[in-house]
Amino acid sequence: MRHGIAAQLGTALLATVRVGEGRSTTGRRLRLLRGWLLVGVALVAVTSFAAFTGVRDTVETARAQAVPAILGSASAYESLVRANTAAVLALDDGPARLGGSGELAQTQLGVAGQSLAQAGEHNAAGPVSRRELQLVQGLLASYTSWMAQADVRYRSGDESVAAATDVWYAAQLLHGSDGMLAHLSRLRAAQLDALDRQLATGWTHPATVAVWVVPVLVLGAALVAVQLYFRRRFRRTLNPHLLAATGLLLAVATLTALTLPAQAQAQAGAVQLREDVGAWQQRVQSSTAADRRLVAALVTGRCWSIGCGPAVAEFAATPSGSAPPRASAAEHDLTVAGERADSALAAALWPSMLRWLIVLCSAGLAALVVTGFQARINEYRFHLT
Amino acid sequence: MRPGRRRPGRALLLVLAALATLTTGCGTAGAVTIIGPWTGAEGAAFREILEQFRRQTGIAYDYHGTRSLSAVLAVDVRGGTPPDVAVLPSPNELVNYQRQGALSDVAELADTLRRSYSPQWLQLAQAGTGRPYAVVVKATLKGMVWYNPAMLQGPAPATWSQLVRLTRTHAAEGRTPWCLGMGAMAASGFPGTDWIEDILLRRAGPRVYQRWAAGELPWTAPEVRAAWEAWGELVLAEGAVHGGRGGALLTDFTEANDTMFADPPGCFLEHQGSSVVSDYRKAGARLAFFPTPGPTAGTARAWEVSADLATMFRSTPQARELMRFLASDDAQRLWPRAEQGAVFTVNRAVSAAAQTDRVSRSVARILTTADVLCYDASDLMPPAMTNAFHRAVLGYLAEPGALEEILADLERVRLGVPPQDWAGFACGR
Repeated sequence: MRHGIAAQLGTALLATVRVGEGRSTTGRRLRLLRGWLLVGVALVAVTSFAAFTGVRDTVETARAQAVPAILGSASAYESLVRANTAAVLALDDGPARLGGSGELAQTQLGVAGQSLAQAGEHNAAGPVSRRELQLVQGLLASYTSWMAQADVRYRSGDESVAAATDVWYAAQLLHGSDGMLAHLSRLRAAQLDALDRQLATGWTHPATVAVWVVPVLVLGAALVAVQLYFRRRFRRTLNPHLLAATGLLLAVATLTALTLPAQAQAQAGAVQLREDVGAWQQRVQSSTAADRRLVAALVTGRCWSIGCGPAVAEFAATPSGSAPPRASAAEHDLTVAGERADSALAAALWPSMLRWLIVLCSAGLAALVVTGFQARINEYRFHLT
Repeated sequence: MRPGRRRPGRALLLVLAALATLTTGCGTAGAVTIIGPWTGAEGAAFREILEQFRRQTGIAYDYHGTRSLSAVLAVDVRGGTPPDVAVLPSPNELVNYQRQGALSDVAELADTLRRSYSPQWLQLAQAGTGRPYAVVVKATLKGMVWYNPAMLQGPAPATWSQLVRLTRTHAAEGRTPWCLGMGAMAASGFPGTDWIEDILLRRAGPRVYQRWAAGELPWTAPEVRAAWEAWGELVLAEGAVHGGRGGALLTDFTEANDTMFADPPGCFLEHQGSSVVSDYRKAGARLAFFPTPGPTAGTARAWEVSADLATMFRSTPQARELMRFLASDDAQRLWPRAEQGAVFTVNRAVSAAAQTDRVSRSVARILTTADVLCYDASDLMPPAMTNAFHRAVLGYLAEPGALEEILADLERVRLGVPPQDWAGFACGR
């Protein structure tokens, strides 16, 4: 080979746009065929690289954003319930016990704050969810203020209903229909939907596979057709360069096809995460119900002498079971859900270097196409027919 | 076809261009983000207005309603992520954000607002400055007692003592007169502050009210104390309030009237602003109201009002377009229709004609023809004072005997607020 591969590739590409300059009809046809094959190689290279990168990036984004946002919103929910339960128990037990449960409440509020920050940092569900988070943060400020006032009253031995109503208003900010838990539930649902959308649109959309499969099939068919043409026209059994090029095309297709099980694995991980979060939600509901009953009991203990109205009883009547708070079990659920989702998505991430292998194989494929045609084109360079 | 005409090079370029198009998204025009105090039916009605805005302008919107607007907005502004437009239920917040430099004026609407608003409403929209910062999207008339006409068939009480007598008579006969709920999420207590403000205005008149709302009258002044005591005389009596005073403390104001039109009703009188009309309409109730009576009979000259003010935190073209739309006569006409007569405008070009029934028309008439309108004082007071006032009424209901201490605490808060933080435009026309 007199010239380097790169120089030959350049010359060949140039020839694809100046196919009419050769003197021989066969020569022009060969250049044309080579040009179209090179277009096919470029198309395969670009679509395969883009598909591999697109799927990988999507899975990586889902792993780095949506999953932490989902877990953050769930963890904030649970921490807020636990904080409220701890605070109510501390107040109910009186000043002597305010230290232990009160500290637990503070710790849980701290965890809730961190979880909200995590959900905000990784928010994958757009500006509406960002706004939900801001609402929760605003409500949390009011909640803390009411609870602080209740704490002051209980510490000072205030026996009036006022201290209990402080707790009541704080509880409304937590449990009410426009309260923090309602907003966090909406936020969690939006993040789960965002994860599903991420894994079902763009490069991970099932139909997008055609973007790279079709060029591969067309190029493969073209390579076979050229082999047949060479066999008929030049009476050669097989062109070894084009045969090797077909092998490399298979390699590119195989590498790109790795995205198919990766997508399936990622989607299965998302489904599993949704199920795990659903199971966690079932369990945390009993903690939420127990928390509401604790609040109602605390308030009823103070208001019975002046009338409590129907609101307290309605608040306490929750649909879920009567189990005591099982926060540790729920926490375990979340951790397990997070680990499962993370490992499912991590397993779907093929090494990033494989995309460069696609580029390398594609470059080799192009070189083989050029060299496969070169000898024949040289033969016909000065022929008239 | 001649081989030379087939241009694989051009095809290559076309392929690459197509792929570039495939991998880049199309840009969309920015939506306007809005935060407001309306949720539920009120939120749905506001979305209808916003939908009309979208149809007219092609600008998308993103509205979030919360009843804890003040706290949420404060977090947003502190975090440097305010919405484009916020609808504030409190003029004091408008004044404060304007003073912080957080707002953009809407100078281009100055002529429109001057034409549409009376001087008092214009002053409110200007947040006490010479430039408009807000559009009054919705006004609420306060100082009225709504009642179930089936339970109150004689003439409405014309004096405070008649109202007290009516309350006691019904309570003694086992019919609880008052529906009362203090819960309001972060603003719990505000229904009680409305009572105190209204009683003070009716008993002491607009001049005293103005001084009090501007922080110039001590909380321990006899007029103020008398207002608290009068309220206590009415609602602390045995059997006066549905669920007892504890029930009033623990009931959300939106649920207080749940049994007002039941058979038999749990209560049949409610001190509420005009926005409650939508609740009653949902219950299919026949509506009637009388003004909160003063010490003597006579037509009420001064009325307490509140307003929801749309203001702009981010000066984007979309936000300006929304402000222009909200200030327009067309948008102001849409509101009453969207909320079935529960929304009242201060726009003189729209006024009572936009209302569809007798009660709504009479509310609209008062809003546009009353001699004096006084803003809800707790909405005008600095946040620390407002917060203390909210909590003080809760404290009073919990411990009526502690009134002296409560007023002394409020006075301490008043003295601690810098004079420049008070808004001085409570009453006017």
